[in-house]
Amino acid sequence: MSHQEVSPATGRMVGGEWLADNGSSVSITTSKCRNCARVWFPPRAVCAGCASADLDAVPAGPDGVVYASTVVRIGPGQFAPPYVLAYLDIAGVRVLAHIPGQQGPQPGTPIRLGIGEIGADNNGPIRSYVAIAGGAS
Amino acid sequence: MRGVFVAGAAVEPFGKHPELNAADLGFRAVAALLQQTSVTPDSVEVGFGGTSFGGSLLAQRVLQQVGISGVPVFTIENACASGASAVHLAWQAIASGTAECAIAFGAENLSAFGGGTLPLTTNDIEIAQGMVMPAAYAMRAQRYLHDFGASIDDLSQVSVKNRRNGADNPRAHFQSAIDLDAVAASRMVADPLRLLHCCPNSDGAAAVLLCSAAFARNLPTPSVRIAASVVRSGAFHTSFRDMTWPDITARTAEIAYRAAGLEPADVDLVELHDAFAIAEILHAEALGLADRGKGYRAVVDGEFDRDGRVAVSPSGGLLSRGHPVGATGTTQICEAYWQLTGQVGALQVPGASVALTHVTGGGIYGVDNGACAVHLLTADGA
Repeated sequence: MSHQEVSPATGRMVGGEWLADNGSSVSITTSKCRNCARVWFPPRAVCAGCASADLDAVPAGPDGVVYASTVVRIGPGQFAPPYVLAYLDIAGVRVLAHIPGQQGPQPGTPIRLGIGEIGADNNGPIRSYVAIAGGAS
Repeated sequence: MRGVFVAGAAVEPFGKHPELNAADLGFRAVAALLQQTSVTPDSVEVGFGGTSFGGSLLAQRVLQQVGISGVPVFTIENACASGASAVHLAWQAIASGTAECAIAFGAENLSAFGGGTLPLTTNDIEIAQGMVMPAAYAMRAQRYLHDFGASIDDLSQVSVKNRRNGADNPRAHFQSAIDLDAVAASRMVADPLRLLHCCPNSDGAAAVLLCSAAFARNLPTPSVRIAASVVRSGAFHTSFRDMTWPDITARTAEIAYRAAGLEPADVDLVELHDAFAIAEILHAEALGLADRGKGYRAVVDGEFDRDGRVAVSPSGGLLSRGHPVGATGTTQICEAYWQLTGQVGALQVPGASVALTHVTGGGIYGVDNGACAVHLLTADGA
């Protein structure tokens, strides 16, 4: 899978293959179908709407808004509950991300997507999408 | 297509049965069903067993214990909708004329997993990020409260109502009423959902006998008609989704109502998928039992009580009965059968003649739920 998995020093990354780190900010890669215009995340080789293989990779983010959030207090140990999850609406796709801290933001809160540690297991830290308050929307 | 009837139902009481595996539980339900209906195994032409965690060939491992072997037998996995999907396939077999008599059951042992949240499908990005079912429903709840101005106490009234109903159900995992204070004092699971907003993980099994009118008329047991049996899958997309409107439920129910020639106002009782308190409100709205954004008012105003406008979860729902995943959809149909044939004692909804059962299953990204089944049953037997 992703190159991060064979390099313990950088830890594992969930969804890292669809994320571009641009230094001060990050973007995710979506797929837009040239045939039916549907947009997908994670990106796809074949459109899950019309089965066309003619898709463009379109970068999206990092700014979006919270659709909903929760504080997970009973959950898998590698994420060390309590942890905060939120669905983020970013450029036409909905993305799940962790939110730092112990409070779930209200729907509509502007956020900015980044990368961060979301947990750890026997192979070391697990990194993935982490959103912080204050997107520019 | 010809008429299909439910002519018998059996439930192995839900609860904690760590000493019994799914096949043991399924056997008990199916053996009780044959005994009650006096059906001999050679009359059963096809069998379907629903399970999510019961393992390969569960249906064979159950049915061969009661002399049903050699005939076509299928094990069906559709997450929480597995048992109802098994019933749907049995309905297809009878409706098409392929068989005169079929058994559908669901069986599950969740004690094997220990406590906590259920393991979800692997190879799913959201699950790899830490998504669990209570979190998905918690986010639905947060958004519903935000959009429609409902309160946590309004949500808690679902738990209070369903636990009150379940207190009278000898097949329920929890047979005790609770009050709002108890809900508010229970442990937080995923904000705003507390433990008593969540159904328990349970072990159990349920079985139904489906048959043609001619077959039903030769049985000692009463029968009810399956006026509609519909299964749909989730509509996959990864764009913005209104999580307060379970589209899969609305689509499945609309087809079922049309097939049966019935409307929501015709329904006397509903057993729906109240895996979490918020789920009853969302699904009740999508089933047309309350206006959009008003489902919580219907609960608070008593409209969904056993003697209310339409009884919702009169058996106690998943919140009382518990949720042995693959068995849930089948047991809802058992409860509806007993309601329509006047066999549920204290649970009885007065004058019940139309029942709807609804179950949705599955936590995978990109859909409301993976599968949904709706059955409409009517008291006009064979």
